[in-house]
Amino acid sequence: MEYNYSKEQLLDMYYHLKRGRIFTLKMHECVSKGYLRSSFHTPYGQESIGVGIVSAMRKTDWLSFTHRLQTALIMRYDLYPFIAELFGTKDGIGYGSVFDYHCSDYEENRIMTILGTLGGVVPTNTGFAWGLKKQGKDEVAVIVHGDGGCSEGTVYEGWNLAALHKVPAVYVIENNEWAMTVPIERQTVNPTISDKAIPFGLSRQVVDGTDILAVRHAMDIAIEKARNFEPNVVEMKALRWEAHFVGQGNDYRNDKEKIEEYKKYHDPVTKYEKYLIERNLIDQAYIDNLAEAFTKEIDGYIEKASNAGKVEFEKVYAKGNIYANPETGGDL
Amino acid sequence: MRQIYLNKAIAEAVMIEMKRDEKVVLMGEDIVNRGGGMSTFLGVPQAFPDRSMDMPLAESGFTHFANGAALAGYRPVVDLMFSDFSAITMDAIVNGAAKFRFNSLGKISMPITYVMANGGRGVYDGVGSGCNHSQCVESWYSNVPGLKIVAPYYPVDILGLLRASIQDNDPVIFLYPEASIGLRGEIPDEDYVIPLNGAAKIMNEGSDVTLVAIQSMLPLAVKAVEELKKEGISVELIDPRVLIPFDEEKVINSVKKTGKLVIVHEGHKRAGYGSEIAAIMAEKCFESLKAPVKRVGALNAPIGSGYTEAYIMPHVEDIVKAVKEIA
Repeated sequence: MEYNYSKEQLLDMYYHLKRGRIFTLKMHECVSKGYLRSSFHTPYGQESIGVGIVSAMRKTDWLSFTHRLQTALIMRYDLYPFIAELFGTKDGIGYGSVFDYHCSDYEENRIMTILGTLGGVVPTNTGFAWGLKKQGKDEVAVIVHGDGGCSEGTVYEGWNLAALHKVPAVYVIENNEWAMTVPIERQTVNPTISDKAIPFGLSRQVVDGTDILAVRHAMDIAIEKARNFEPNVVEMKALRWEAHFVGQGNDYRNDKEKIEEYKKYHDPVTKYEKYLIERNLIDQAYIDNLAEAFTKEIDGYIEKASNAGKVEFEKVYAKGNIYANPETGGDL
Repeated sequence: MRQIYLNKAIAEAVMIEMKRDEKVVLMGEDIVNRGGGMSTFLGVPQAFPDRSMDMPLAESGFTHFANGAALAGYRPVVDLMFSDFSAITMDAIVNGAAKFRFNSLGKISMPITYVMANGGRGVYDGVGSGCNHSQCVESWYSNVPGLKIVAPYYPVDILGLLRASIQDNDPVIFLYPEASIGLRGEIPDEDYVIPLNGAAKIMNEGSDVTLVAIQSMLPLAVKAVEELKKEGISVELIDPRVLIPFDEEKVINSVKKTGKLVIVHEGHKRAGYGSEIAAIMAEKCFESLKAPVKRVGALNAPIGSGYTEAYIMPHVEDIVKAVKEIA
């Protein structure tokens, strides 16, 4: 399919995709060096989803994420404090207390909160989207969750409320076929999860999540619909390349041939590079220069973050951080 | 002064706060046609149709939804009907609302009030609605930092404390006594709010034993105090009204005076809120205690329906007996 994106738009997406890949490789390396204080859930093979989503959003739109959507988060958060957060240090976006999972930013970056228990993120941020609409704001909430999260019942309670109240929200399903160590065929009988959106009255699209332009295009359509109060679902199909998190063995994977096939033919980065080279928008030197620049940038951040140190107790556990009216919160 | 029914006190508190603050919204089941499942919001949907929302029978989903509305700048009042039903909503309350401010490092607030009918024991036998409609939930939530728990009994306190809960910028579990929604009580004519801190109230001054009675146990405790008085035992009765923040000072001062403490609540005795009060007293005024602390609560058994409900609940005689044992 031919898309109508400008050279600038295409290269901007490439910039973030390549940066996301190098970030992932570097963080993966840092786990073995013992620098990461958090678990790291590698987004290999689906970096295109995060980048495609955020590039389709306005700055004023809102995002909630999964633990494998780091490529989206680093388009909104500055990279150094994000890495410093994964290292659990005082320079992090939450002083090392929230990692890449419990972070939220209701100011400039517009990151909506999520729940570590998965499903509830859908009705929570549906309520948030309802609030945006009721206040007459021209803002859309993009709520991303995984195939695993879609087994939680609250997802469907949330979708029902979304359709009922016509909230400005897009629900993205990042379907990478694995929920922790449970393959899709042991999660649900229909591998196309978004089929379940239809009876709730939500329209849906199913796209190849490894194709960044397919992701972007689907999101352009979805966000436009949501802006006109037609909540909808976009299912992005991909394959998780690795174990659930770095450090978990992947001996349970019974689809190793499929993984190799995906690495070879559906790597979102090399696939997009091929697309851009074929159209003479970039060449190998461009790729190498960009990779070198990102490597240098991230290496610098790693060096800095690894020396940043722990936060002091008061910064995190101040009573005012727990209660807005601490005088009525009881003892700590 | 004027007389008001308990359910009307709830409706009036919400109505006043909706008038005062246009961000207050009411969400729950049966709201539009019945003013909520327990008719505690009568008149609200007529007065504020745009801010009164019927919800499907999906407590988990709509409680998360209400949390999201709070994050977007609203001040929701969520009617969960029976407090037992909040078991379904625990993810939203415990993993969500209680943590959002902390995770934002104090940047965001969660101004939300979850209103629930707590327990089932009344002045008479109680509602008898059994194991999924008569439980007391205060101790489920008291182990979760980030929440506040308000548990008044009398209509005057319901009105003043519900207003304070709605005005509060933190998540509040607001419990009202399920079997007493028809209770009538006097309230002052002037506008008033009862602050959440320092809320304990001395209902009867006494010198021999301190008796702390939570929510539906208050009318039973009042009767017990009268009976004990006839036998020459002077009981100081305290209604804590708010459990988090717990007004330790008033109870400690009373125990320092009497040296003896009995706690009664309708919730199950094991790890009930009375255990927390007993532990606070053991830590903070152990040297004043002249006898073991006694707890009176429901037996540690699921609650049977109908007449069998009262079999496991505390009665006036149980309170009298506990006091006499240490008096």
